[in-house]
Amino acid sequence: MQKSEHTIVAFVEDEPGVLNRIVSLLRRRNFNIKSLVVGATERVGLSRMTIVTDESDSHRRVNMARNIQKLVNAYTVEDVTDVPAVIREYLLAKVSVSNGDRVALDLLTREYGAKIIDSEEGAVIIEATGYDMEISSFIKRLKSFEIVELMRSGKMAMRRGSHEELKAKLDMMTTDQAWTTSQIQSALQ
Amino acid sequence: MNQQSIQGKAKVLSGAEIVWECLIQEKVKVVFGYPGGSNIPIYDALEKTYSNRIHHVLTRHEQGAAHAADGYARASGEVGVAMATSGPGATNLITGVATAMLDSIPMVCITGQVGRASLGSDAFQETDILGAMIPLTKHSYQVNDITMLAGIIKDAFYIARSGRPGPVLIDIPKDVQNESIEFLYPETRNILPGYNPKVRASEDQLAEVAQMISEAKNPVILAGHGVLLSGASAELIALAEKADIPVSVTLLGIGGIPASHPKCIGFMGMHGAYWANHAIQEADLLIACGMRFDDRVTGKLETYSPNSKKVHIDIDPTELNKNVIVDVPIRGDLRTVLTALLPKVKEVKHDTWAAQIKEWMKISKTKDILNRKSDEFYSAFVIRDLWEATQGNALMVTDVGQHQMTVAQYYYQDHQNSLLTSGGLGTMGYGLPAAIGASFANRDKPIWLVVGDGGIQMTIAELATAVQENANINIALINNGYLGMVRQWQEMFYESRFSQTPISSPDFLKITEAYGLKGYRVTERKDVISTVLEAQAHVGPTLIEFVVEPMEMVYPMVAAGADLNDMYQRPLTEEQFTDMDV
Repeated sequence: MQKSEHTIVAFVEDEPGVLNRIVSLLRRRNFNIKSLVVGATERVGLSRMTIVTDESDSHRRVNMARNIQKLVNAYTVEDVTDVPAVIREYLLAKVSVSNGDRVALDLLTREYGAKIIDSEEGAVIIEATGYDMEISSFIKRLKSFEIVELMRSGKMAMRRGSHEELKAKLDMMTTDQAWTTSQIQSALQ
Repeated sequence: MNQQSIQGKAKVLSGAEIVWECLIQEKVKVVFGYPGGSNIPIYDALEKTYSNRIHHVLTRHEQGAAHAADGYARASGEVGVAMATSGPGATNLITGVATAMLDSIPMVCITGQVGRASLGSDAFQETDILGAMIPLTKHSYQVNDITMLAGIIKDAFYIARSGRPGPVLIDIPKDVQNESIEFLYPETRNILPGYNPKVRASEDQLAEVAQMISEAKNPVILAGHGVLLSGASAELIALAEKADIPVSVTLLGIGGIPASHPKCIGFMGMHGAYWANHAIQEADLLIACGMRFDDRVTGKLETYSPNSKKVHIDIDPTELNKNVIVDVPIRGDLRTVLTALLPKVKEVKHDTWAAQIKEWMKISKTKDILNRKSDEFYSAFVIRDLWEATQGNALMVTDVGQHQMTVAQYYYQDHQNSLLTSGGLGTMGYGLPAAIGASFANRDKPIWLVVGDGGIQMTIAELATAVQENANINIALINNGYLGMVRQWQEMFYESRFSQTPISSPDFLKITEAYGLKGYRVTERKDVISTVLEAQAHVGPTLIEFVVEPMEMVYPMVAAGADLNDMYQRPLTEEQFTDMDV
């Protein structure tokens, strides 16, 4: 992975407009998004985003995470750039096989642990997952065939190990309890 | 969102009625707004049921409503409330909301929206106000379900006033206003899992700061708006006294320590005090309290206070290490942090440092326009004499520009929350509506708005609001015939090409007569104090037009992007000054 790449995972409320708030914030604070993946999680009402930027300044990296954390709809933010984490991408590629060597394509696909998931009317659709260098390398090799369409998903990240702190934090935050008026008042004091 | 817990007996109310019931529950006494097609139900409910419990002020433009709510919030410490209809009504609020956002002012704006069925169809007077307001508010809501309405209003007030305060938008489609539901104000608010305004500084950090203070030779405290928002004035003064540390204030921090306090060295930054900027640049320790190192305060970042260790205390973690990288960033409520820090700090004296600052002060005083021998009528004289006439006890409101800096420099403010000014956004047109809003805060002080001939014309229609409400505000209109601050930049940096800065004005005495407020015109310094006292004795709005020197400049000044102590001083020879006692 390139050193200038910065990867964070944001846990946010699954509410309309939350993605808009995050993207708007990153644009406003002048961060350049390289990829952003959003999806559902193990918890109802909790969405998870993996955001990759090209920010290289360490203070600005912290500032970006804090800015997202400051949004009312954000539960917590983790910077996974410098911790052990699995960071993977998904690829869909459509390759024309009308003139090409189908056997060579099958071999290449197998070599990269990829899979042909559709084969109709002279083209096949291949899916692959892996870390970004693997995907890039696979795409490079696919270029010896005729690529019709291709899309990379952007990165998804998850820290390695049991990482109990995150679970505890989210357990606490997603507990179904409302604040009483006196708790609100004491929070305001 | 979670289920609300409900107490007491339910009654069936419309969404529009629920809005007012919730405002009453939040102890709102005054609302500033403007009716229109998409908020008619809210206004109808006001007229039918609630007008004897909440006072509504009809401004003449929605921007005025937002600024008035802001002025009310700053003057009262309560959440200001502004209302507008959809489309242009809502977009007109935007400047006022952005102003409140940059200055951390608690505000709730309630806009009407087209009915849910029409959302997204480019219906008449539909704008995506939620989308437009997301980057300009602390938080924003669109209420698409009437069962959520009361909870959202409760949360909005909580978010607006807690932590670092800010404006919150609630956009309510018209059909939601018309729907009915059993209403009871929720006893508990919704969980806001990611929102935790309460934090505590660690003991280790505080011990480190105490150690830094005890080792410092040339320390300076930088006091920002956070001092006032947090109510940390007493703790700040105690720290300054105990460790003998001079305190410089930001524009919005003015009043956090009395100007007359021996440890106060005045206002910092682009038009700040020469000696304050020099002290900051020469300091070996900066303790920044509730401020955000704005570019108008730091000058060139690369050379900002190059030899100091820096401590930054702020409730908003995104401000820490944003502009200036500090040695000890502390996230926390300022008052809580200072209270915990104080007992750890040793009593020390910094006499040599204080003497050095006094030397810088002497150099600067020789350039002070107040000491100038002249029959010319400078706006600085107006502000200085206004200070004298009001015995420094006025609630001051300014607009934006030269006069704003002159007020910061010459209205020596001893009181907290007594200078209302658009610092972060620098919004011309802010002053008049903000002063009207402030007049509803029941502060036992005369209100003086200082405004330029440019700024007042941006929101001059609010004179009608002032008269309709018989608002007890006094307006000191500084008329120099120019957009003075831009004119000053053009003279200094653009070879005196006064592009579009000469500005004509109507006859302001006729304006006051037409609007029905008391008007005066002053052209000589000798009449300032007597006219101010006469205007102030008048019940209801008054306006004094001070016709001043057109070419006056605000000094000292740090050019944009220059070193903080690289200041332009008033370019005058010694003969031009009277003898001084400094």
